[in-house]
Amino acid sequence: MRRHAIARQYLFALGVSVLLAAPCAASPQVSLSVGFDQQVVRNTFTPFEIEIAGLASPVDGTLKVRQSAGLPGERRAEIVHVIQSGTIENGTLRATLPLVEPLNPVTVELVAQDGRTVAVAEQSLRLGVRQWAYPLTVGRPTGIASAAVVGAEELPLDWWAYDAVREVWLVDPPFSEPALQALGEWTVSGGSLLIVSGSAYPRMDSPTLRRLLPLSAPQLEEAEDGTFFVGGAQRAEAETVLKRGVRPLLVQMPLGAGRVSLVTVALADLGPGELELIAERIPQAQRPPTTERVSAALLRSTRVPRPAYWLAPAVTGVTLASLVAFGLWGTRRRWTFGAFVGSLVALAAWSGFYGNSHKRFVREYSMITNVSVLSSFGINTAFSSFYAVEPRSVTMRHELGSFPAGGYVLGARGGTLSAESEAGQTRFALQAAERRDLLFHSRPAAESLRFRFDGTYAEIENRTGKTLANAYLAADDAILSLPAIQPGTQRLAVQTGLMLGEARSTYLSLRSILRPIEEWLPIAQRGVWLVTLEEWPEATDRDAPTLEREVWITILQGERT
Amino acid sequence: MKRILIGERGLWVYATFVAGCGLALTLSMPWTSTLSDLMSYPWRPFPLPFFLTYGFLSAWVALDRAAEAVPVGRPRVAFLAVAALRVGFTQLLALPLVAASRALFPDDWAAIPLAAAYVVAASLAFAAGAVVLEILAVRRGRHPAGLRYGLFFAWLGLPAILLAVAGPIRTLAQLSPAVAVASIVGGDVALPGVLVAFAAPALATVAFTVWCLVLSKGAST
Repeated sequence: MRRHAIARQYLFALGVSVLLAAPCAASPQVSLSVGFDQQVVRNTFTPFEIEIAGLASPVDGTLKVRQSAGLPGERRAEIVHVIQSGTIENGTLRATLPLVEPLNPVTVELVAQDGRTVAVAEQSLRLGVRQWAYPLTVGRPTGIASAAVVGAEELPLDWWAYDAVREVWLVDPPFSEPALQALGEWTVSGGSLLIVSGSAYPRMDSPTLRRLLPLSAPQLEEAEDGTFFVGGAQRAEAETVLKRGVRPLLVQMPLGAGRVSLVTVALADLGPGELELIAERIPQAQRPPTTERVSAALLRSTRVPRPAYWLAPAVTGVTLASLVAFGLWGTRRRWTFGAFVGSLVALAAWSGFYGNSHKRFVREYSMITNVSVLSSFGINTAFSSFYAVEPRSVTMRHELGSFPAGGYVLGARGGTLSAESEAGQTRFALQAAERRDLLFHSRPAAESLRFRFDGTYAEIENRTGKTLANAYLAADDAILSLPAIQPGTQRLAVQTGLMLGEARSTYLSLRSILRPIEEWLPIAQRGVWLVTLEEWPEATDRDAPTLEREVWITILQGERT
Repeated sequence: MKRILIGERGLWVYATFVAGCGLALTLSMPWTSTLSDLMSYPWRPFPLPFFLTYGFLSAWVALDRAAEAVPVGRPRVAFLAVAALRVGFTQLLALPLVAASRALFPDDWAAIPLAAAYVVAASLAFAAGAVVLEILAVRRGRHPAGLRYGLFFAWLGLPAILLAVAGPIRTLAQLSPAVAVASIVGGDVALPGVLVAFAAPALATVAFTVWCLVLSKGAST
């Protein structure tokens, strides 16, 4: 009996505990993981992973990440990114966001449609703050100093998420195709990718990986000592950097503005000191080119709509002339007064119409410079500059899935400098006479240009549907001006050209565009490239007095035949 | 016609008026052609200097030409008509410049006719006042220029002191033509303010006209 009573008491206590704990277990929770292995660098695009758990049912609301610009203790400005709006369920969401100031805590909050905060979490990133880009190892630790280590499943799918990474070591497969695609795009943008293969190669082999390899027909070979190497014919631009005996140990190849390195053996098969030798020969990633200078120059050269200089002096002069004529001859001719009045009324009507048609006062100017680099993989990077004549609330529309960065540096002047980004648009406030720059990365649309060059003729397939008026071909340290490229396929003779050095100083548009791009991607030394430059007509809106200019620069790698 | 509208030495007065207004309009026009100029020297349409110049010079021409229209020994009622014609002539000269000032109003342009109407009303009041002062001065054998311009500047400036006062009495600052023009062009004046602004020259014109008629009747008897 006594034992039964004790058991009943235990059961009662357990039941009460379960009942009390049940609401806690079901309470919605959000958690946040920022950066690779929690490592972050200020003012870089950074992967964010948000986990939502404990929702009893899907919530109609908004999931926001809040950051603040400005150092602690100083003036702050809030930067909000709306990660998802609508029906939100339990699960994991990933986004690549610009990390503004990691010394300030980052907050993620789930807010219901009625404004009620469903769940909120704040995270300090202080312990993971780094000053410079760092190496990233995918799979397991390699022994590389200060490397962040992540699993293959954690790799982000946006190429700009690797903004703070110095080099990526792919060690432990399998790697998903979208992740490899993003790594290939990042390499084209200036990244440094190292693939450690050897015996692990069969588990990592995929069509996308083959596009990344410096070998055209990779295959697994066994050396005399039983070590497995990845061998095969090297691509034209590939070079052997390190050897073990007669076999290449480290092969490198440029890819766009970046470089791919292949270690032909598995990590475990590397001999003493070989890892250090390899690490020394891996180039550091470079960030994609900022077209800030091009964008700023084009913005500054944008014309300001206004009436002609001569309007007021001309009207004054004609009025004075009429007055003097009337004053001198008004008494001699009867019709002079009628002519005088008629001329002034006609002049007033004309100047009124002229003033009416030239009265437009643009309050907001914007300049968007888009650069597309299309090699084995493609990237888009856009730099937008905004200038407001008077205080304005600006809405920048952009592609879904990416958020712009920049413009969050607090100046000495007043104002909020805050911004709110959501899918497809970013809103921020501009003060009078303030310029704001924003950087935006994305993927290019489907390829619509192809070309091959045999040294004399360029065969170009233009499926853009437009005539490309400004096109240049870069090959063998020379830049060749092409005639207008009509839609369709055509064969163009390319016989006269300028050395790049001359071109840089000859064509103003080329000079301003080639310089920053060449510092990043030496097109003259990396195969043949087609550079097209399109300026879209100024877009103006009478209801919202804005003036928008947009320039597209496409840099396409071609095939030499 | 020329003698009635322009009068003695009037060509230079009107030419100065046109040139002064033209200069103000020229300086008010945007001069920046590229955004780099605009960034270095921020500029936005600012039509007030032109309208203040136009109003001030209109009043000056009205005072000068109306006073000049009062010769000794003529029937005095006609002076008012001549003064009014000269005000009309002045506004005819200003018409092309006022129309061109449309370029300085990117949004709402209702201020242009309103400001121009106010300038006409104020000029008529100044012209009528100048005629009365001239008649009185001729009767007393004095030169009225000092009194004329003294009263002109007093009317221009004294009500503006009320701008420093808070409350409804501040509306009376609109009695000053300079404040009224600035408020109309700036678009920051409510209906009571507009009524006060227009009431002042209207009442002054009526008062000066009646006074002129009384003086004229007295002279004829």
